[in-house]
Amino acid sequence: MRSVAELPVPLLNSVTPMGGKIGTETEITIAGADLDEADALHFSHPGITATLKSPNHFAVKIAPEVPVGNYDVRVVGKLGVSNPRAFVAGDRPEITGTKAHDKAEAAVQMPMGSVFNGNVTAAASDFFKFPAKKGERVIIVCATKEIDSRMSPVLAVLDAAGREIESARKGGVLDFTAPSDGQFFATVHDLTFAGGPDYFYRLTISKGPHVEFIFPPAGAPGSKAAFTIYGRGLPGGKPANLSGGDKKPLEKLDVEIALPTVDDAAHKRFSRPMSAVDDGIFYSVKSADGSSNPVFIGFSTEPLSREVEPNNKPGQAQKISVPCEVAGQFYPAADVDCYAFDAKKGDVYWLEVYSHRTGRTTSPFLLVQREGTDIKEVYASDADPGGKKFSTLSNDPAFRFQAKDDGTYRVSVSDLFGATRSNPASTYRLVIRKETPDFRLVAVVEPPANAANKNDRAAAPRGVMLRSGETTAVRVIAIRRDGFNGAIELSATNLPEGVKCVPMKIADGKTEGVLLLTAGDKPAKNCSAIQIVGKAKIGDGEVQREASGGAVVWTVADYNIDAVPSRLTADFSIAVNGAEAAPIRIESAEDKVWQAAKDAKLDIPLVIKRSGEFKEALKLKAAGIAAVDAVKEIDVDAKASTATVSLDLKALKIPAGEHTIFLSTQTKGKYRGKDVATTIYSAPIRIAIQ
Amino acid sequence: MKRPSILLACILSFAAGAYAKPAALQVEATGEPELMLRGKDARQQLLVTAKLDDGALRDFTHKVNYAASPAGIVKVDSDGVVTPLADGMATVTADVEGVSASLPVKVEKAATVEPINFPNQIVPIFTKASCNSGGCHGKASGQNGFKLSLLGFEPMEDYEHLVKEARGRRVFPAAPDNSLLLMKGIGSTPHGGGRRIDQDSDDYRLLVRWIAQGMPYGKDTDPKLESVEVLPKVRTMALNGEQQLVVLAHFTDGSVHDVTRSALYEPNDKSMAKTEEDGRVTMLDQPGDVGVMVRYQGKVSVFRATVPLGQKVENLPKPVNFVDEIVFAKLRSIGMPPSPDSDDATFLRRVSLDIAGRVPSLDETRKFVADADPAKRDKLIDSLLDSAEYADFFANKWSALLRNKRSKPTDARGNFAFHSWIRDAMKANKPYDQFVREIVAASGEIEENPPVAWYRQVKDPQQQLEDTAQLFLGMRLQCAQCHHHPYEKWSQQDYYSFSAFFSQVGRKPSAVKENEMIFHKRGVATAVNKKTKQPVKPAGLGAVPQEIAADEDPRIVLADWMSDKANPFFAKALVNRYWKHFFNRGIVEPEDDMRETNPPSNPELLDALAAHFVKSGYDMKGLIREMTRSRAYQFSAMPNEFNKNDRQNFSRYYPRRLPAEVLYDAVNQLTNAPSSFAGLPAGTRAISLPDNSFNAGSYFLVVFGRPESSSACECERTQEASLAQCLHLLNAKDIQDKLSSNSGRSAQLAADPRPDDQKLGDLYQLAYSRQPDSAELTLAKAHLDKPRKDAEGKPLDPIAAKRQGYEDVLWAILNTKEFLFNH
Repeated sequence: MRSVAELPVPLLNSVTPMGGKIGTETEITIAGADLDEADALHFSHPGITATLKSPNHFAVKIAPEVPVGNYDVRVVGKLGVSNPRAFVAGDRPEITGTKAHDKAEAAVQMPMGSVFNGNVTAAASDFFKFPAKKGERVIIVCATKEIDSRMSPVLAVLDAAGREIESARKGGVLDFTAPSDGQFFATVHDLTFAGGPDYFYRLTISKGPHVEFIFPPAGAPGSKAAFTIYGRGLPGGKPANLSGGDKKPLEKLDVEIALPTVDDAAHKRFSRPMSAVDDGIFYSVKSADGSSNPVFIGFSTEPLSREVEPNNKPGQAQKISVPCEVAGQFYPAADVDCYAFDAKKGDVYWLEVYSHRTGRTTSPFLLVQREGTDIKEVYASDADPGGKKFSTLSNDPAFRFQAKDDGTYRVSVSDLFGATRSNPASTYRLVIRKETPDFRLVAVVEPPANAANKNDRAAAPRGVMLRSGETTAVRVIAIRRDGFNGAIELSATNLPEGVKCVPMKIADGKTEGVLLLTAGDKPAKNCSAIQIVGKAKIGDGEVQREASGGAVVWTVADYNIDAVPSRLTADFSIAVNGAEAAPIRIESAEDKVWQAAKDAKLDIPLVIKRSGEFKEALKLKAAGIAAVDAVKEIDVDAKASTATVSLDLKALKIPAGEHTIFLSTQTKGKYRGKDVATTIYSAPIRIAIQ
Repeated sequence: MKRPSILLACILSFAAGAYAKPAALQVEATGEPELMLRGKDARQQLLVTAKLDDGALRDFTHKVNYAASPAGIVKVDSDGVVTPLADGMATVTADVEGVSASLPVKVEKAATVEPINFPNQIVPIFTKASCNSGGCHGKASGQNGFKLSLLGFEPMEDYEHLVKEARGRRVFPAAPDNSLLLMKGIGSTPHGGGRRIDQDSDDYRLLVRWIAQGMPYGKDTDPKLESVEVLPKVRTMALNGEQQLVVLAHFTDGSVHDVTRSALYEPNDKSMAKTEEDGRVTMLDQPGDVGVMVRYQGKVSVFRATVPLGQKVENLPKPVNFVDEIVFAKLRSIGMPPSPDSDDATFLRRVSLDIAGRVPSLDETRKFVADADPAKRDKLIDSLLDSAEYADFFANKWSALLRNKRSKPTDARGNFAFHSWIRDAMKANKPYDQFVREIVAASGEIEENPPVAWYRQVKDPQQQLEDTAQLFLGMRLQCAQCHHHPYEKWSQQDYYSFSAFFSQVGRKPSAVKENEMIFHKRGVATAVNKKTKQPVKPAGLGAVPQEIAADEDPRIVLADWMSDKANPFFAKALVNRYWKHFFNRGIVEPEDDMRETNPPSNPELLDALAAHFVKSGYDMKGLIREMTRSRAYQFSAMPNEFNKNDRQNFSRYYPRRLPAEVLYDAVNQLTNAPSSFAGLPAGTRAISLPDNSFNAGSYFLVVFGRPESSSACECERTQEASLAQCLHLLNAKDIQDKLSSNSGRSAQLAADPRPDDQKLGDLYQLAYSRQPDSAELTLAKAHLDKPRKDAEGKPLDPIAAKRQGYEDVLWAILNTKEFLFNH
């Protein structure tokens, strides 16, 4: 807990209901903090719009052409735009405005195929009732983490007398076949019986379809490929002769899916789990009764084939020719899949497994051998570019392989968590590609650092606000691949009027950097999505990648004790409002590139404007390139309106070329009558060294 | 021959009851037709067995007269110990009451003193005299500067300490009697341990000779001890009867030596038998089976005695299944008539408590008692096994054993998940071998694969193997970590080889630091024997060491070995544990201390249950069904004139107090009080609590012994009675509130317009599943009808008075044994 609050920005905790039916209008209520004068909702799809009806109540219209899926909604108010929350556009009738109860007598009647929006109360279960005929298969799905809830759902089905027939503790899915005609109860509660407004859920009771997994779990972008969907209640589904993780029989359905190209922006509007940093789409099975849950299909980069069992023993290794991708399953329990490929001396390949990152609960392990001799045991890396505040770790391993001799090499893939688990949904994709250095970016907004406590281990969601003349910093995390260590130039496009962004770099070998957004004088009020882009020179060419947005979902007081829930966002939105001025505005006296000779001394004059009640003396710290970390803090008197940054280029060893630096400081003041602390960023300062 | 011995024999036999005249006698020593004595030090205890008129065998070793002829070859003392005098052949005769038997004896090298072998001959003296026990010189730090290996397991170390340490001050070859070792041993010089051996004894003389010989160790080529054998192995004995044992040590060169006076004896049930240092076993007055553990130099054997009651058994019901057949066969052979069948009300309450951890509802009681269906008991068992409460009750049992303990607040999610997983397994009747496999070989993250929680509490290979052995193999291996197990054949090699299965358990922190992810670290499974410092391969207990490839998870190999049909421990451990759950005493007792020296009281029953269990596919509900369907389970708890002392033959149901959670729920059901536990839905029953953390908020659960899940032993749950428990039920505010609550049973009954007879009938059915008898009704009604005054002395109105009366009756019922016990 902070002793002094941060400068407030809207915080969105929940929207109720958490979704609506496509082609209809629904009323939603928002809850959170600092939602002053919340007058707009920003959705990540233009087809979803909202109008304010009364404080914290909005009428939301979902246009008929909006595809089924999870979108982001943010609230826009006087203090800026908030962090996102999930908003589901569905194709089933929704039940909203009804409170669920913890007694069978007051159970909410659920028509087959409908969706209920609500939240559980602490130390209680919510009761629902539905009729079923003997032998009818009913799929009960409770979405929680997927829609940003804190809840871990436990589902149960009771008979008319209240006796438990079966229960499902994980996955939020209960596949129930009615043993007789009659009324049945469905109950929902959190794993540890926690509850409250943060423990919201969407409960669907239907005949399906529900997808367990898809195979292969990837396809070539821009192609039409054949897939088999495994699940329950699939339209036209046939028995698959397989049981799911819950030991219930699965159906299968063969489909052809046209995959978009990598650049097709439409598929990027969905909010995704943190693990899905790499490219792919979410696919839902459609039926007359409604759409299924989305399942991730990755974009393959090499020719994709499938594993052929038996391939468990080295002698049975499946021959593949590299580079390539192989889709397989860690199935049944303790499955090992062996592949053999030829390589010439000096050949370099990267071996990587995609499994955990596609939402599977696996921990793949690779063993590379040659003729019985171990070359490498590959476990997942512990390197976490995002750090604990925004972890980008996964259980998927990657390895740079260099053939020491001509010959046949063998790679075995197994699941470290699969020793006793027979679950066909444990799919994976082994990629063996030529070394292709590349990178992915995630842009995250974080609360200002806690000046009072350097050991603060809190993480929290944060929105964005740019007042007149204000500069805000965005943390951009770089996930580097195949040994790419070069610099990445960050910039932003699609900026609203009045907002500028000077390109900044993520330095060689570093896994994060900062990008500054600066509002000019009295910019027009606006909330919109921007694109943050990274460019890098790789080999002979240039690679450009758009950053995914990322957000922390719930506040965590100590990230060493609790995991920080986080995910990718469907867009990266900022709010601008010229009605107020930035608390403190710091910029270089002239808007130009400051030139200097190598080894000279460069003095850059700064202009400091204060507004409101931010009257403390400041200590400015230079940042932006590694070299300026050594610059001493610049003291700025409370009354001063100018300052100077003095750079001794020789001592600092700033290399020749163009650089962007900035200053930041932590300060306190009063805002809306309360004491607040905040980090102030200067506008970026461009320098050019001969 | 010796008149005093005949007199003694007569007196002894009178004391033992009717004096039985032998029809025939038999003398034996080693089981060979001829006894061979070689060397001056040879001794042999004789065993004289008499066959009585009725065919029974009785030990007459100390009841006969001994003679040896011709004289001068051997001498036999009144205890039947034969000592060689000169080379030659002789015949030893035993006679009593005109019946006699004889045994030929050959003596060789009578004048030769065989060179003394220190490990074979001297070390056992220290064991017998308790010098090297864990309480004295045998403990890790020794005693007063002198250390011996525990129970003589390390003769070479003992030799070092005795002969070489401290400049050899302990032994004095020039004048052996003045050796410190001997002077302390006979107490002629101050010795903390007092007098351990007599100066006038063979042991003392042997020690003197050994020191005089210059303390030889013995040669590498000397024979080594291979095994010990006890004669007789099995015997049916009379109540208060006596049996002399003969213990033979077999050596690698084929030689056999009598070590009867050097061996250690211990009965596995001290209320049934007692033993003497010379190998005499005396039964006490409890009929049944008892095992006497015989230990000599790290080898063990067991003598099994059966003591019949000898009554006519005529009222055995028709056996329903193999359980009945075997239990009844035992009752017939022991001559113990069983108690009659329990009545319906008793059975209903008993089986509901044993399977579902709850008392039956009023409705259930009424319906069951009125039901005329002859198959109603079997149907009741089936419906209880299908109920959610069965899953709760057995999840509660396993959750404690699997250490589902809340050590820190962040454990909560994992604990709820693990408890839920166990409950699901019970509900779905997951095969037991699959259940164990998924725990022992668990990998993954705790919420995704909850049995990983076991590894959260059981952190290193030592703990993992000890818990595995105790829980799933019924064996306590703890001792064998530091030395050879004193009561069993397991050595440190066995211990560390078993630990090797857990040598490749990898851990990696998950997003929440405390919840580690468990996986198989690639590598060849191996451990180090801390004694020999040598590497060992994984080996199941008593099985050959395994070569497990680096890629294979050795825990899966372990699970395979355990669930193999031929595994001698796995199925027996479970059926014994479940037998104890239902019958209040394991066939082996304690249920997780199964060893050769603690034999089952009914080995056929244990074997049959285990075979049935394996054949059924490790079906736990099926096992419970077989046990509870049997007539043996359904006997009344009331003893007849014969079986009051029966503790292990299952001739009646052995009552026991309700466990804490069950009692708590029963009290709430009786008083119609709501139960509430912090953070859980109102009305959650104590049987459903997911972990131990709820104990802290409930004095009731703590005082009645709910375990903290700190151990793999069911004994952590205390079933002992205590004053605190009585006081709690009598006086606690918690109980008073339940009795006097406005929505409680007393208030309900007071407001109920029906006559008291009917209401009392309901109350008794709620508490005991039976109707009150006329005396109980009269007593209760008199109490209810008493006029009462309030605190100011004004008479109370009838409803208020009635309510007070019902509170009193309820309070009294709560405190009766009939309520507190399962009977």
